[in-house]
Amino acid sequence: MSDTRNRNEDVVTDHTRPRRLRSRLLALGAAALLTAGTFAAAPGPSSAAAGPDCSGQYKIDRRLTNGARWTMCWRVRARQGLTLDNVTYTPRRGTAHRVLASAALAQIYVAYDAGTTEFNDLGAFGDATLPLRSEDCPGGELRAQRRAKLLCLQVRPRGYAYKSSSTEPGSPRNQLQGTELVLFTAAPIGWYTYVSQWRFGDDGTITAEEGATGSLSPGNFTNARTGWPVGRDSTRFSENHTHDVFWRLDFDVDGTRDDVVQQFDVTGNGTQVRHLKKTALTAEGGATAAPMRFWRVADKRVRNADHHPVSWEIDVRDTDQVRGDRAHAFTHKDLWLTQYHQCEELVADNADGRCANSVDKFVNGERLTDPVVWVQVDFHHVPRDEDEDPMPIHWQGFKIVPRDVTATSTLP
Amino acid sequence: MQAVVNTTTGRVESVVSRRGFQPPPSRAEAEAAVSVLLADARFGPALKAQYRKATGHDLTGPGDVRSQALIFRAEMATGIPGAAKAAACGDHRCVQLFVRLPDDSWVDTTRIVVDLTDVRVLRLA
Repeated sequence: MSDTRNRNEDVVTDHTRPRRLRSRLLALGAAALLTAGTFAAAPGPSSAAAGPDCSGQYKIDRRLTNGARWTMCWRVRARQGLTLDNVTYTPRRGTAHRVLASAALAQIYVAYDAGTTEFNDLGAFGDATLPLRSEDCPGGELRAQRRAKLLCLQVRPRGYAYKSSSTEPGSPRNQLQGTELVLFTAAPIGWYTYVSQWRFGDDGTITAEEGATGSLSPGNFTNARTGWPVGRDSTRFSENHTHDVFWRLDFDVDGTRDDVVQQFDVTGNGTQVRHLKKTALTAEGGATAAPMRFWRVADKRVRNADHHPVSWEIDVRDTDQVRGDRAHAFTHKDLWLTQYHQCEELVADNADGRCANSVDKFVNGERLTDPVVWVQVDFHHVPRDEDEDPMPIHWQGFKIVPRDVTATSTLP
Repeated sequence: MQAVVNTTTGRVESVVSRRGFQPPPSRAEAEAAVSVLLADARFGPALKAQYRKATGHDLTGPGDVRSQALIFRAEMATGIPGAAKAAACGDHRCVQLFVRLPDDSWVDTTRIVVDLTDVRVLRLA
């Protein structure tokens, strides 16, 4: 159990921090006129609230089968799409723990292997999120933003939460079938349809995933060096390409203050002895994914009943680590760490005149006292015959896992 | 120009100007770009013919197809033959188009950019 320093009495309506006041942002083209009408034309979910509206449709509060509870707010923004705010986990028999002040996509960079086609999907397109229908969300609940049903909320089975050998089969503690809260939206962006999905498990695990389905490019055909034949014989080579997906995670572990970031590595491989090495990441910078490496964001003051710092581990285990050239330096790290600034929203084409334009430029030596973690997960897509329209959905993502949030397992 | 407006206080918090930033295209701009395509002597007839083949009807306007536009800036054409034609994009409002017909087939728009400022189609590559 943690101490009670966190201020989560009403976790889903916490608009108390003035630093987080969300002004409406209007990016106007050079030729646009600054008129009162232009300003008034961009209402958010609620133009009356200072922060994101977290009432009614926008409030999520679910208790899973084992008693674990997740609360948060959702909204869909024109550039990032699905955005989750004030994400808070309350384990069974535990107290509420804020995990994230905000979480959303931070860019989808798509580059074709012949080197002449590339897209920064977020920001270049407008609001693309699709209204969903009940068949898109079996057994779930559709939530609307401004009357458009954009979000599907489901509770899904996830197989064993645990299976024990310590009790008789059939006894109540012998096994638990786990469940998870699943939230997703879908957005057609170009030839693809992207599904932005978050899963919140009854064991505290958060899984962020981006699914890509839809159609391969109808015009990007190359040769055997940069493509794969999807037509009859060896005629039409659909061009290989990469999806570099970025997420922005504004961590607030049990409140805004006292968050620290650490990297863990194992010294030595090809040996029977492995030592765990901890590195404090105290300034803005980038990090690279590696086998057995993980990171965590810990609150240096809030501890569980075993006196261990409450923390959330970031696992980036499944990425193709696609790096672009020097003009695409934002792709050069799997993880970026920056000090919180409201105007730093997208890793590339950030397009906010108050801040730099890409995450590699956000990094300018600031000390990390309120860390924002940017995670990159890449998929190099070599098309197959099976990918002809409609292309089976492919997923890429990462996990955020509780590490010492509770002193024991809270599943049973 | 970019203005940040606090809708709670009604105050303009900051106004900055910087070259090269463009907001995402609106739905109306996507449809305007399809209209430019339809009016083009080369691409208009091809699009109309593909539409007729797909549906058996004549294409009457941009609302007949599903379209999406994305911002195109000159540097996105770097390395592509014909890149110079798009040199003004960024100062000009230029978009790439994605066009899907009612039978779910796509129109190959991978080599063209629509310059909404000059109201013309640019063919790259």
